[in-house]
Amino acid sequence: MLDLNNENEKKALYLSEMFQKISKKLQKHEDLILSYSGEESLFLRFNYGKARQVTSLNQGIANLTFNENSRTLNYKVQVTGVKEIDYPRMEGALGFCREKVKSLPEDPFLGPLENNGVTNEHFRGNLPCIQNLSQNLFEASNDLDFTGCFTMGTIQRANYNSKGQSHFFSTENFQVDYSFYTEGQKAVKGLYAGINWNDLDFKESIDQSINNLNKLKASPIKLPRGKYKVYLAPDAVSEIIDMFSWGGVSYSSLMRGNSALKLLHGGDRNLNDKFSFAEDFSLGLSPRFNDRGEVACENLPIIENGKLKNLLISSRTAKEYNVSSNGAGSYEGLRSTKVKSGDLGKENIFNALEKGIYISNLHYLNWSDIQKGRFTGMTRFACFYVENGKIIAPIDDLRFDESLYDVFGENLISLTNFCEVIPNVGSYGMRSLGGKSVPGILVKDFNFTL
Amino acid sequence: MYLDLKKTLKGLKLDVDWISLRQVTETTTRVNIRNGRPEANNYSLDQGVMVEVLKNGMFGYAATPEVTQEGILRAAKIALKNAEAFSPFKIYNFDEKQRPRALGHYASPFEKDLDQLSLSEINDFLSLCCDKMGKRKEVISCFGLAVLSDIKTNFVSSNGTDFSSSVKIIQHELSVTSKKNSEIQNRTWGNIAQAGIEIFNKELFLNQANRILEESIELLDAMECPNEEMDLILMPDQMILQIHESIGHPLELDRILGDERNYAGWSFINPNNFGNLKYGSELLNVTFDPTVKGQLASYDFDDTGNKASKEYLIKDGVLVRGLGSLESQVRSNISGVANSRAVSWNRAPIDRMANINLEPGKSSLDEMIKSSKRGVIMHTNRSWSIDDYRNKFQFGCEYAQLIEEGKITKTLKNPNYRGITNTFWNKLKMVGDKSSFEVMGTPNCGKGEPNQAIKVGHASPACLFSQVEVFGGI
Repeated sequence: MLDLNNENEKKALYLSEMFQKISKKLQKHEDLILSYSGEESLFLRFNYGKARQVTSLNQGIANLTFNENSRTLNYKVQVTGVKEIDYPRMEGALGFCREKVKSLPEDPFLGPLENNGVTNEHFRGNLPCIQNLSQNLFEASNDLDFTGCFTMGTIQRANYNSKGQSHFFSTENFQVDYSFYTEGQKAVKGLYAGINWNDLDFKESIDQSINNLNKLKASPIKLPRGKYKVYLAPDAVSEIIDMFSWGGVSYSSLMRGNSALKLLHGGDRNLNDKFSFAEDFSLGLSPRFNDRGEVACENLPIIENGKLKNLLISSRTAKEYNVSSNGAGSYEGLRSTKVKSGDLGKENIFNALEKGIYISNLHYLNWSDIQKGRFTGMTRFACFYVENGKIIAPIDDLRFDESLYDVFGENLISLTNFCEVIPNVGSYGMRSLGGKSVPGILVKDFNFTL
Repeated sequence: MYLDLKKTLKGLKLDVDWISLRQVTETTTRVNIRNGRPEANNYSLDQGVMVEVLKNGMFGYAATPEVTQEGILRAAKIALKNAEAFSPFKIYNFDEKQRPRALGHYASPFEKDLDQLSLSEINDFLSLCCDKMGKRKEVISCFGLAVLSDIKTNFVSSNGTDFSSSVKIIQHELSVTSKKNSEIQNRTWGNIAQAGIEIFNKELFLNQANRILEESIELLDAMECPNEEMDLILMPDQMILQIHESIGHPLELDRILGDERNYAGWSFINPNNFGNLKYGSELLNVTFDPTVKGQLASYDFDDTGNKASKEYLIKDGVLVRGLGSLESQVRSNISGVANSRAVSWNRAPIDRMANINLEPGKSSLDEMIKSSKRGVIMHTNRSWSIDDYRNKFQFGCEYAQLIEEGKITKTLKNPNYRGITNTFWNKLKMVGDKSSFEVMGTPNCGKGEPNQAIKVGHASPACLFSQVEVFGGI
C-alpha cells in the first residue's frame, strides 16, 4: 500500500505511470529503459562561520535508452513532475529516438533486455528545518574559523524497462562537510552525515573536531623527502580506495590496457593477505540496481586475502568479452565498498606508529604510472609527525609517489580493528549516492618525493 | 519551451531588493566509437531556470527545471526564503553594485551549424578514424569521441539586465592504445572549442590518427625517461595543464578568500602579493582573455552581468590581478575580472577561470631545442596532481623526446616532472613565438560546493624551463 503523503512514493508512482504510458507506444522490436536520477536539495556554503551562498535545487533527469533490434540510442531529458510538460516531452524523445536510431550502425555488444524484478526502497529521514539550522550551525562553531557546506534533501533513483522491470530507491539525508582552521592555516576536517539529524550528535562531532584542532596549534615542521612509516586514517584510505574505480576494478579497463590491477591479474605482483575488500550493498548507501536496472549481488568480493577474486563486469562488457556480468554499472566503478578490518586497536595506533607520520587526509590523487599501479598525491588537513608514539608537531604537506602493490602489499603492516563509514558527498551534476566502510592502515616505507 | 523571461520577471511580485532569472537550454550530442563500433550515441536536452534574489545583503538561489510562470514563482519564493533565513549570518553585505546592468547578445563563431552533421555521419567519421588507428597489430584499443553542444542562455534582472548568448561547442578526441609483450602505451589527440562542424576536417583527423598510432607504437620500444634535473620544454598540450593548475587556480580570489578551503583548496597567494610577487621570470605574461574568437570560454558578460574584457593577470613576471568576480573584489579589495560563472542553470555562479592564456614570446621551437645541452620535450598530459595551496605539483605526459647537445636524439616513455609553483615559473627561460602557439581548452574544471565542472580555455606556445626535476617509471 503506497503512502501518498510521502513525496518519494508519489514520485515513484508518477514515474511508473509516465513510463507505462510511453511504453505503450512502443512498436514491435522496440524496447525502452527509463533510468531516473532526481534530487531536491538545499546547499549552504559557509566560510569563517558565515553564510556564503545558499541554493535550493529541484531536478530530475530521465535517461531513456531506446533499442530497436540491435541498434540503440540514449536520450536524456529533465523531468519536471508536471504531466503537461513531461508527457509530451517523453513522446517527443521517443519519436526522436525512433527516427534517428535507424541510421545508426548495429551495436554488437548490446545485451538483451531482461526483467530484473521489482524493488521499492525508501529511507525516510529526519532533517533539520532551515530556521533551526542557521542558528545551530553557526553557534556550534564557537566563533572559530569554520568553513564547508551543509547539504540536505532527498535523492531518488529509479529504473523501468519495457520487459516489466521496476526499481525505485529514495533516501532523505544530510551532510555537514566541514573544516576548522587555526590561525596558522592548519585544519581539521569533519563530516557529520546521516538520515536522522540530532543536535547533540552534531555538537559532539563539532566538539571533537575543535578538540583535534588544538593539536595543530604548534608550529609545523618541514620534513625532508624520503620513506616514512605512516598511519593512514580511514578518510585517507578512502581516497586510495577511490583510485580502484578509476582504471582498477573495471574488467573492460583491464581488457583495454588501462588497469592498475594488470600486474595482480597476471600474477606478476601480489597484495598482502591482510587486504580484502568487497562490493557490499548491506551498507545501505546505494541501491543495488544499476543504470540498466540490473541488480548486483549483495556481496561481491573483489580482493580477498590479497588475491583478485572478481573484477566489475557490466552486461555490455560481458557480451563483448564473453564473460558473465556481475551487475556492475556501465562505468564499472565501486558503488558500495567494504574494506575488511584488521587487529590494530584505536588506542594502539600511536604506539604502533612509534616514529612516523599520522595522515588524516589525502588530496588530489592520480595515477603516475597506471601500468605499474603507481599513484601520486598530497597529504592534507591534520597530519602530524610522531616520535615515541607521541605527536611532535603538525607537518608541512608532503607529496608522495607510491605503488598499490607496496601500500597494500609487503609494506602493509596492519589494519585497524574498526571501520568508518564514509558516504560519497560528491555533487557534480547531481548529489551522489554510495560510499564505503574503511579501516585505517599502518604502512612502512611510504615514499614521499617533494 | 519558450517563455518570455522579461514578462515572467515582471509577474513576480516579491519583496526583494533585486532579482534575476537565468535560463539555460543546452542540447548535446555525444558519440563514442571504439574499435570501429558504436559505444554510445547519446542525446540530451537540459533546461531550467536559476532564480537569484538579493534580500538584506544576502543572495539566495533556487533552481527549477519547470520553465513556466508557476514554476519560476515557486522557485523565486524559495530563493527569497533562503536569502532571508541566512541574511543574519551573511559573510558580506552585498548590494546591487555586484549585479551591473548588462545588455546585448553574444554568439559564438561557426561556419557550419551543428545540425549539418547527422548522428550517423558522426559515427561514420569516427569509425573512419578508428580504422586508421587500428591498422597495426600492436593496437589493443582505439577510440573516437565527438561532443556537439548548443548552449543558449537568457539573463534578465530587476535593474534592467537583458542579455543572451548562443554558444556552439565541439569537443573531439582520438585515442589509441598499443601493446608489445607487457608494455602498454597510449597516445591521444583532441581539443574543445567554440566552433561548428567545420572542425571535422577529414584530412586533419586522419593525419592525427596516423601520428598518434605511430607514436604509440614508437613508445613501446622507447627508453625510460631519465631521472635527473634537466631542461624541460613543454608543448602547448601540456602547458595548458601547467597554466591551469599552477596559475589559474591559485589566482582565483574565492580560493584566496578561503571559500574553497573545505573542498578544492586554498592558495599560496595572499592579498599582499598583488602588485609585488615575482610569480615567474620576466618572460611570463598571462592574461584573462574572453575575447579570443572561438576559444572555449569566450563571452561578453559573466553570469552576474559583468562586462568581460582582456586583462593581464601576470605582467612581465609580476602578479598584478586576481581571478575574482565583483563579489570577491568587494570582499577582498583586489582587482579582478568578469569570471563569475555557473556550469548551468542548476548552480550558483562562483569565481572561475575563463580563457587563461600565456602570451607568445619571441623564440621558435628550434631555437629552444638548439639552446639546450641536455633536456626533455614533453607532449600531452596524462597525469596531474597538485596540493591544495597550489604549490607542490607532479605532472606526467604521454610522450617525450630527449635533447642532447641541441638536437632531438631519442623518444622517451613515461615522462614525469615535479616542482613548486613559484620556483618553477621563475625557471622559465624561453617562451615560444606564435609558430608554436595553440588555442585549446578543457571541458572539466572541477570546483565548488556543490560541485561544478566547467569549461575553461587555455592557449600557450611551447616554453622552456631550466633545471627541472624530471623522472620516468620504475
